[in-house]
Amino acid sequence: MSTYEISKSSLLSLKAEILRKQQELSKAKLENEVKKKVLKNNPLDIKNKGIELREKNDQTDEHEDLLKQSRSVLERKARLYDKLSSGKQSAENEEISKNYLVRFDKKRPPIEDLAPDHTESHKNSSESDDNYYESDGENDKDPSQKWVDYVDCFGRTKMCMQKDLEFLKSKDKELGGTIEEKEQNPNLEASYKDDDFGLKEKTEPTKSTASPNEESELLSSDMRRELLRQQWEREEEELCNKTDIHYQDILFGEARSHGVGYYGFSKDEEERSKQQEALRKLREETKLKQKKAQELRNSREKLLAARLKAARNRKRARMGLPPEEDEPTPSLPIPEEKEIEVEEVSDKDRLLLEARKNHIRPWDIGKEGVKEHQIMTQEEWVEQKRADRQKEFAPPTNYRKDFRANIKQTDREDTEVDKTLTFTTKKASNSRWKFERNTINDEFNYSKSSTYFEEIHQSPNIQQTPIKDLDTGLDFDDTLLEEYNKIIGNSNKIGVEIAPPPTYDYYGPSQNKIRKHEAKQTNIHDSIEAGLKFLRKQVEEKEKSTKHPDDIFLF
Amino acid sequence: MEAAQKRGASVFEDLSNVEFETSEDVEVIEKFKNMNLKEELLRGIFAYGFEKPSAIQQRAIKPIMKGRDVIAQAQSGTGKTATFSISILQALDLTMRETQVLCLSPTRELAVQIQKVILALGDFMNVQCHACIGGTNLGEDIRKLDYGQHVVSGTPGRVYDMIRRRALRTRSVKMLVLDEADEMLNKGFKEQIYDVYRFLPPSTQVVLISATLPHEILEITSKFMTDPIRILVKRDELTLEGIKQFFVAVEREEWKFDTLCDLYDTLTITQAVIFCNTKRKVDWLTEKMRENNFTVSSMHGDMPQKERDNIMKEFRSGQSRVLITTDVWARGIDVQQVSLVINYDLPNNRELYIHRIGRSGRFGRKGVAINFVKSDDIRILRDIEQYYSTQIDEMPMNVADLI
Repeated sequence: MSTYEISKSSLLSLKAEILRKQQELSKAKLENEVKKKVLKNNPLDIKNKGIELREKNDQTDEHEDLLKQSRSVLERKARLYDKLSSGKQSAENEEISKNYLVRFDKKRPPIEDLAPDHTESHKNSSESDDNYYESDGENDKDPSQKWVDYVDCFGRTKMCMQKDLEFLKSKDKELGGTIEEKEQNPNLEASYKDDDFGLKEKTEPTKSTASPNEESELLSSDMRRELLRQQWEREEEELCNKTDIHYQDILFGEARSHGVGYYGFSKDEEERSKQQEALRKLREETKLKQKKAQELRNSREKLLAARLKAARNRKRARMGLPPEEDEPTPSLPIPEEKEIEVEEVSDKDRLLLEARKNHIRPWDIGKEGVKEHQIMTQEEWVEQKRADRQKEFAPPTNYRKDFRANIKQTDREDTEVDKTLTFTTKKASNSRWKFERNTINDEFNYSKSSTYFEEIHQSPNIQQTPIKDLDTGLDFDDTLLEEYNKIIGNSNKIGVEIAPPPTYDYYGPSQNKIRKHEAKQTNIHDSIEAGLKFLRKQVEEKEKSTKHPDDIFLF
Repeated sequence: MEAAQKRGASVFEDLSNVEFETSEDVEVIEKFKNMNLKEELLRGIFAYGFEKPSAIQQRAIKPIMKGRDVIAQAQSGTGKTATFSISILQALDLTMRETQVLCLSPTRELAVQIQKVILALGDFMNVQCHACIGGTNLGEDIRKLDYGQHVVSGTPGRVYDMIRRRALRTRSVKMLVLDEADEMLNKGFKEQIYDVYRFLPPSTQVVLISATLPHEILEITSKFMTDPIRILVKRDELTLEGIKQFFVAVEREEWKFDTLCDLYDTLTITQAVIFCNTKRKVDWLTEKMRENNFTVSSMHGDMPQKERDNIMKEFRSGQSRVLITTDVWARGIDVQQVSLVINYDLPNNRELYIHRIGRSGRFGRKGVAINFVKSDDIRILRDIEQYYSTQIDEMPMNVADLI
């Protein structure tokens, strides 16, 4: 790195150079300032070519006349519009209104009703229309051009030129006066229409024409409910006049999910039948097409099978084998129509059917076509007589030691206290017993054959063993019984499997138990033998039977 | 063998000693298609929303169709009404415009509902079904019956009245259906049923349907039925898995109201029914709920029929969501959207409990039952719990999740 030697001459030249540069700078600065000024003024000062000419043209009289003309037309239009939209329907208006496509009476005025003021101020400033938008720049120069705020007679804050303030205020006062007058005498309205564009009329319609839509949105739930109820009422009334009522008629808007196949038929009968007809046709069409498609599929399969067979035969021919034997082609399983099942009626079912047919229900007795009285069987008769029998004539109670007798006994004793007029034990005990069991007092007991015994509550396993049940007079030997049961090996039940003797059928104490015991035909002989053996042994071994076995049925 | 013996013998027999069991040879048909139903009826069944028959429908429709007397029991909301409706529609001769089936139910609302179901299922058959209920215009009733109705669904009083006035001709009636049979054969109604029955042709087919069939009711069926087929449900299988049962223990009666208010948000998730034991209490509770700015509707038997109809329509259409009512609403009424039942008071008997909680959980839907119990009521609740071998737990906090 070297050091510079600074000479005096070089210093001087540097100074001169700096000076020159400074001069240049100041010069340039000056120029720029001028330029700046020119630029700044430009947008406002420089006008488009020919604009002055046009302005001059505008100022001419005929143009002014045109302007005024159009203005007056516009004003007239505006007045008419206001009149129409105000909803005032004088006779002539009505005539006029027929010519318009716009339904002014339904048209709602804008919420903020600025129109009149706007036009007003516009009109007032219309003289300075041309410089309206330029005025900003001129604010400083002319104090009368300054924007000022004022409050009009409606209480609205407005802006206007300083110079127009006086005029506007006077106008406003005038307006205020007319409004007051109108409020006092609304009939005068028409006369003001020329001056101001029916200020009053504009405010009025907003009050009178609240749209019904708005109402429905603001409905309370109570109101909606009321409307729904009215609707249902109407629907019900319609139903009154219909002969045929269908599901859709009585649905009443129920929120229920239906199946996919649900079809909401029309409430109109004609329409409904049309819809059903259409549905029927569609179904038939579908069935037909399904059938056709099935046939097509079948024929195609047949063709395919034939072709396969041919191919196989060719292959066999090449190998030197005879062609395939014609097998009976497995016919395609044609879906057969389901035959209506004819149910086989077994003998037992037929018997039951017969029994059902012949059965007379107690509640049916006395009806037309029904036998007045049930033909009683012997046992029923016995039952009834037994029920009618006075207690004193009944067999001694010690004949029956089983629980049924006991219940009966206690019951009878109880009812004896209750009994006042009737001698028969039947009714009193009947009702009493039922009361105890909390059942309904059967007042419609037409069956005279129903007896006390029927009502006795029994545990179910007891009814399976009628003989044991009835053999109260005999003391049982358990070992004998076991032996007996061994003989009846194929049955694990206690009791007999054979039908009771006819004597039992006739004299048995309770008709109820009789029919339950169906004899097994297969081992009937064994059963009889076993039974006889059992009885014989019992008699032999005990040898102290106090009474004849038959007595047990005749207590 | 035992059952067969019993059944075979039961034709003429008194039934007080018999332990009732489901008849042995009840056939189960697992598809509607295999029931040999009319085509239009089948269409109506599918349109109504049934796809597969429920257990009771699989068993009971066929025997009723065959003309047998049937006693059918099934859990609440498993399609019992549809069961007999389908059978009725199958049995009808539509070319004859006369009353062929008479269907009696204990409440007017239920009768109207049955009419609706029959009309819905028979929509493609153009069946005519009339609801013959009290509280309506007599003249109109007579006029409607005069047009000719295939089926009449009604309440016993009005039906009897119509029969006596000869407005309802019973000559062609071939089937009598008693819905809610145990109620219909109970003290208050039995006499009226008898009155109506006396006007029917002898040996009319009789069908009894209910969710509860106490023994004493089964006993008296021999008076007007011939060797009926029985399809019964053991009582420990009578409550539905889908309905969860809870209780809320309160010390004092007044606390029930506060509890109810606390539960209100849960109530309105879908729809809810609140049961009180008396009409007056219904009115009182409704008033009190409204005072506290809860929206509720209420219904009981003392209201004019018009009002009852409107409340039913509002509730069915979903306009109202919470219904305070008495046991008039306990049986049979089917509103799909009900998923919560509140027993503000415990029911007066065990059967009513089953019916009340059965208002929710319709046809396989979920349901919740909440019992308000005072300390001395818990004993009753435990009895119900034991009787039906079910489970009633204390209400959990997240009960809303179960709905």
